[in-house]
Amino acid sequence: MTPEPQRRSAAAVNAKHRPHVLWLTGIFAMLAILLGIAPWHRQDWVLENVLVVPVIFILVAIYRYLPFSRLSWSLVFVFLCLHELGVHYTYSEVPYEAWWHALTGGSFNAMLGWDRNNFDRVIHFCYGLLLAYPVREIFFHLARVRGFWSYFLPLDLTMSTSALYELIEWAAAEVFGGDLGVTYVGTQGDPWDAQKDMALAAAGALIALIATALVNLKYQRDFAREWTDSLRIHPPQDFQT
Amino acid sequence: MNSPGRPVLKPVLLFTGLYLALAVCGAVIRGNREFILYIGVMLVVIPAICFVHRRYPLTRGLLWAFSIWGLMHMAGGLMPIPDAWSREGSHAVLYNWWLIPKRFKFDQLTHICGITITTWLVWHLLNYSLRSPGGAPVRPTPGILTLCVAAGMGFGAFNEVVEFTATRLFADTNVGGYVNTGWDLVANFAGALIAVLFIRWGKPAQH
Repeated sequence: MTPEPQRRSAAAVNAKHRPHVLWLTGIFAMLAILLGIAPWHRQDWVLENVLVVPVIFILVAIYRYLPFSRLSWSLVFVFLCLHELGVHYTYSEVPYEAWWHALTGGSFNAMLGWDRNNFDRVIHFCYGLLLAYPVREIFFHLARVRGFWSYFLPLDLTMSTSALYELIEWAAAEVFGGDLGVTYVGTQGDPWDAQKDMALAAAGALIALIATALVNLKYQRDFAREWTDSLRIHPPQDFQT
Repeated sequence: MNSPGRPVLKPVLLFTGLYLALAVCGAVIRGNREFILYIGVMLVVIPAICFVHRRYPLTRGLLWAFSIWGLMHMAGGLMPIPDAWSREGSHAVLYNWWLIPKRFKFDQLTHICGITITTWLVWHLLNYSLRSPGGAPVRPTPGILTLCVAAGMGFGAFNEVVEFTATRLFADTNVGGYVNTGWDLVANFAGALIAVLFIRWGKPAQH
C-alpha cells in the first residue's frame, strides 16, 4: 500500500496538474471515439484496444497515488493518440504513403528506402521514446530508485514489456488465426519482426533516457553523488540456492 | 581480487577457460568458423561478470551457474550430434536437438537456464543496491519480484536483438525466425519465473 504522506503529496501535485490532465483526457476520449467510428477492421480494432483498458486503469491509479509530472502525462497522451490512429487504420495499413503523396506528390517509403508499411515500427520506437520517461518517474516514486538504477531499470522494463507484447501478439494470432491473426501480428512477412520491434523500442528508450540524463547532468546539482550512491554496496541479504 | 568472504573466482575461471580452449580447438580442427560468434558472446559475458563480481561479490553458486550456462552455450552451438538424433534444421548441433521431439529443444533449455541465472543476478544486484524506505534491505516482495522478472525478460529481449544482429553480420548463424524467437521468449519468461520461485522461497545466504 502507498504510504499516506506519499499519497498526500501525490494528491497535491496532481491537483496542480488537474486542468492539464483533464484537457488531455478529454481530447483523447474525443479522438478515441472519432477513430472508433468505422475503423478499417473492426475485429482488429477491438483486439488492439484490449490492452488500452489496463493502461487506463494504471493511469487512474497513478493519478491517485503517484505525483506524475505534466511532461509524463503529455508523453503518455501522445503515445495513446498514435496508438488509436494506428488501430483505426490497422497498423500495417496506415495510409501515410497516400497522405505524403497528397502533400508532396512523392513517396515517403521511397524517400526513406522502406519497402513495407513501417507505421508499426515507428510506434514501437515511440513506445520506448515516449514512455521511458514516465516509467522512470514511476520507478522514482514507487521503488525510490535513484542514480544509475533510475535509468537502467526503465530501459530494461521497456525491453521486457516489448518481449511480453510480442508474446501476447503471437499468442493472440495463434488463438484467433486466419486473417485477423495475420493482421494483428502485422509482421508483413518479416521473420525478424519481433527482434526489430524490440530493438526499436530499446533504441527509443535509450534516446529518451540519455536525454533525461543529460538534462539532469546540467540542472541537478547532486547528479554525480546520486550516481555514486546508487552504485554503493550495502550489506548483502542474498538468497542462495 | 578475492577479499576474505568473497567466493574465489580462480577455479571458475580455470574451468571456463578450459572448456573454451577445448571448444575453440575442436571448432578449428573441424573448420567451423561459427565459433567466433559463440566465443564473442563469452568474451563479453566473462569480463562483465568479473566486473560485477569485483563490485558486488557474487555467491559461489551464482559464479558456477554462469560458468555452466557458458558451457551449455558453447556446447549448444559447436558440439555435433549424431545424425540419428531428432533435430530441427540442417545444423547437426546440440542447440537443434529435440529433447522432447517437436516440443522442447536444447536451445530452449539453455534460454531457461540463462534467464533463471540472470534474474537471480538481478535480484542479487538489487539486494545490494536498493534499500526500503526505512533503510532495511529490500525483501522479495511481489513488487521487487515483478521487477526481477521484468529485468530478466529485458536481458532476454536484448539477447534476441543480439542474435538478430548476428544474422546481419554472419551468413549462416543457425538463429531461427519468428516462431523460434517466440519460443525463445516463452523460455525466457519461464526462466524468469523459475528464478522468482528460488528467490522467494530460497534460503538466505550466509556471508
